[in-house]
Amino acid sequence: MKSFVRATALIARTHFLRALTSRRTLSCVALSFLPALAAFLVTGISARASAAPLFANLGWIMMLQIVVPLVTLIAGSAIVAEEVEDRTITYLFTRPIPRPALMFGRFLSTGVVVSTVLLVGVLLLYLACGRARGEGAPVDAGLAWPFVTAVAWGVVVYSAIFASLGAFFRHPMLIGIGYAFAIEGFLANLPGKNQALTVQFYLRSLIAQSPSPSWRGVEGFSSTAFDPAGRAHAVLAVILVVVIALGAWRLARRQFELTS
Amino acid sequence: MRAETHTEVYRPYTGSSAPSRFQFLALARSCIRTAARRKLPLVLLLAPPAIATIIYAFVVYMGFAIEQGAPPQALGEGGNVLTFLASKMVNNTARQLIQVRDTIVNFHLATNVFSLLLMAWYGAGQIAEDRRLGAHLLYFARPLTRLDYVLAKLLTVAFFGSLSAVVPGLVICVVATFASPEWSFLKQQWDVILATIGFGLFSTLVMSCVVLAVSSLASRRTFALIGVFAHVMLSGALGGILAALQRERDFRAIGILQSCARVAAWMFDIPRGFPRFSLTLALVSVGVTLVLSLWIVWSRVKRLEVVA
Amino acid sequence: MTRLVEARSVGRFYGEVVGLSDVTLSVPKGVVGLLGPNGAGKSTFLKLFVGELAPSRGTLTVLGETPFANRRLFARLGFCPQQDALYGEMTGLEFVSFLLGLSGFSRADARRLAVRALERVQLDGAMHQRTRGYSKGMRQRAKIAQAIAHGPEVIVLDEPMTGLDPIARRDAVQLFAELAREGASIVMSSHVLHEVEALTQDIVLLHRGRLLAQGSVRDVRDLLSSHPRKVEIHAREPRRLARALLALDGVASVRVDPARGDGPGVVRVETTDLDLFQSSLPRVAVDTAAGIRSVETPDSGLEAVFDYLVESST
Repeated sequence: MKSFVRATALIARTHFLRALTSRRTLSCVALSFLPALAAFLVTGISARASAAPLFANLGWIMMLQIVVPLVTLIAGSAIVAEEVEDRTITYLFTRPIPRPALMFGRFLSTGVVVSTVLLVGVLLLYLACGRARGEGAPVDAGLAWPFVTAVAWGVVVYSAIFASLGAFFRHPMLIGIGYAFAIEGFLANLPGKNQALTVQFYLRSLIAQSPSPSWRGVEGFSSTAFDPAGRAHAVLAVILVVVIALGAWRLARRQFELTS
Repeated sequence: MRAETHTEVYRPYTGSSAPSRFQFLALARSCIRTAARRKLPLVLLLAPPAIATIIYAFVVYMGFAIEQGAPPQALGEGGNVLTFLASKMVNNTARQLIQVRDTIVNFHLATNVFSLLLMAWYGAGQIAEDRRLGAHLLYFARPLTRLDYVLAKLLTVAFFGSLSAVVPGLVICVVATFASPEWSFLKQQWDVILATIGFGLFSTLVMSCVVLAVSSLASRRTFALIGVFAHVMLSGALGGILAALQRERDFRAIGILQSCARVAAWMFDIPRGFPRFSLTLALVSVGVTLVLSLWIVWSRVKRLEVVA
Repeated sequence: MTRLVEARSVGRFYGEVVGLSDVTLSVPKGVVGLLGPNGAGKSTFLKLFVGELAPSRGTLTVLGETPFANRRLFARLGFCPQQDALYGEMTGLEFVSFLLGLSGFSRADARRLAVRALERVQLDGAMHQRTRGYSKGMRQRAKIAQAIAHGPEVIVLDEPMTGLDPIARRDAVQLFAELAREGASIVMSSHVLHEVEALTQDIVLLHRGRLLAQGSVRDVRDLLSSHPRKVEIHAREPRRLARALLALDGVASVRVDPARGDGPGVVRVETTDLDLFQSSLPRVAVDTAAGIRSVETPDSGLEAVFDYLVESST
């Protein structure tokens, strides 16, 4: 156990420093800032746009459904796959460390980096929406806080899913694209109970319990029966634990056939 | 006969090797052949458009058959319950889609995702992987200009896109031509054939340029794939959100797929039932995307250095 | 005594491609050269050795333990892989220190050992430079440094000479010899036969996934009875010498390259009994007064053994 913790901490610390300057992180930053940029443009050209509906729409549709899955796909799938593609996994797996320490260590550092990037994106979105000149409610804590919670959970759960895909598959990003957009994107927007099969449903359930009426104006909100927030938290936690455990189990047993 | 032996291992080429003006065709052919070796994605991504082509072609055929008052024997009035129900369903659909142009536009709207997927799958790595693996060093050490390279890559991506965007539409037109009484489709609606080819090539060209531009910016194929999806989805989402917030449909022109659909509605002269926002804005949006993509591709390819 | 590696009917397949097939061998501790042409299975064998892969069939043990995902064994192993892969954003020192940290050393000890290892591979001048900016030779030396830094019992080197200039190669061979004298067992795969020969006489020869030979070069050579031994003799009177040599027992063939100008001619002999030939040659030399200048056996080296074995198995 001691060696596991030690190895995890060392890998997390080392990778955190690498992640700060990597091109992947730059791509994540660029994507995270897109909703804020869109809000900035809208508030600049339109006098009618108001803060709360703008925040709700951009947050719900653009941030939660597109940006969060994309960013976590880029960063999360690299947790194992980057070491395999760069062929540096040999160095790690010929050291006396438990193999899952690689996954946990990089998951920790990736989680910190991506959460920071996305939360900064949310903050910028909030600030950009605050420029809106239209008549309407401002973005208050009742509106923003559930959204921040959903984004944070989204980062953690999606990163875990994509990291586990890296432990199972040779091309996790391709599988991840299919999962994020074909499965999550398709099922999550189908009416009925199928939505409960997706992570998006539980993330939206966290927001749905918000007292703020601005969320109700978003397309698709009113037609869905969301779960209570407590249940959503529990389900997301279970998904996280199961997915990480599966990924760690697979990583401990998998043989990596690297090309020279 | 004079005796001779040929024990030399190497025989120098004695023909001529004048560079052809169409060298990009040779490179395109090679790239297509190499890409097509991955057959499973081709089958998976072409299957839905192929199935849709068969269904829509049959609907067109049924439409003309009903017009002439003679439903086809295969779905006769007699027979069992299943064939009776099937014939009722097809009859109803055919009556609604009696216009071939409507059929083709519906087909495009139903399958444009697969065209995009095909082009993204086979096109995302065209420039990114060349750069990553150093293949551009081999290309540019030959008498191949940068323009040849770009044209070849564009042709490669467009080939795969046209398999879903152009060919099915033409198949439906051919069925319509033969099914129509006295070649009426060909005589009276020949503009639909032109529009089919024109729109197919147009949407293929635009999306090919976008895919290549993203590929030239990415460091590897998977990033390029994500970039293509991100561009399409974010632009569509942004357009939709702004249109909803501002109650102004013209914002939908921001979405590239939405703009292409609007252009399709114009080219096929569909009066109603499709997204009706400003055609000018849609054309501007597509035009800007096209020009920007080509500029990105050209500037990135020009910067490719022939050093290891 | 625990053997360095014991393999019993080991096979490793990559789908339909055979990496190794039915390899059975037992190698004692010490220095051993792993040889074979391209695609012979050397890298596959080494990957099984260091526990990166598990055999599809058979059993393989290193120091008595199964290597796959065996943390206890990894503490005793150092591996220099063939692939040219480093963490480009790290400096050489950071790279080696990081891996030493994973081996369980404290930060201070890791740094100290990393500096020492980098000095041993003569990379101390560039240890604060990012590995992204390293030349091929420097990258190779960084890889060797991380393999030896923690003082492992067994050092596994997959083509360690790749990218090294001749002086660096010589230095690397000296380093490996030094490590062997310090008590480490070394398994080294290489195409550069004379460098393997400079390090060890014990070889394992693979070809097309199969074991062709194992043992000392000399003993393996002696086993090759189908290939008579070659001897080249430079002499002033080659024809006279050749006539006398043909009469010796065990001589299979004699070929004469006559002298050109003032230089000696060459008599090329093939014999099935080298020891008998070598013991008879002095008497023949005296009797014929052929003026022998030099005697060489060009095919007792590793290259000849390699060629014979690979040729005969093709």
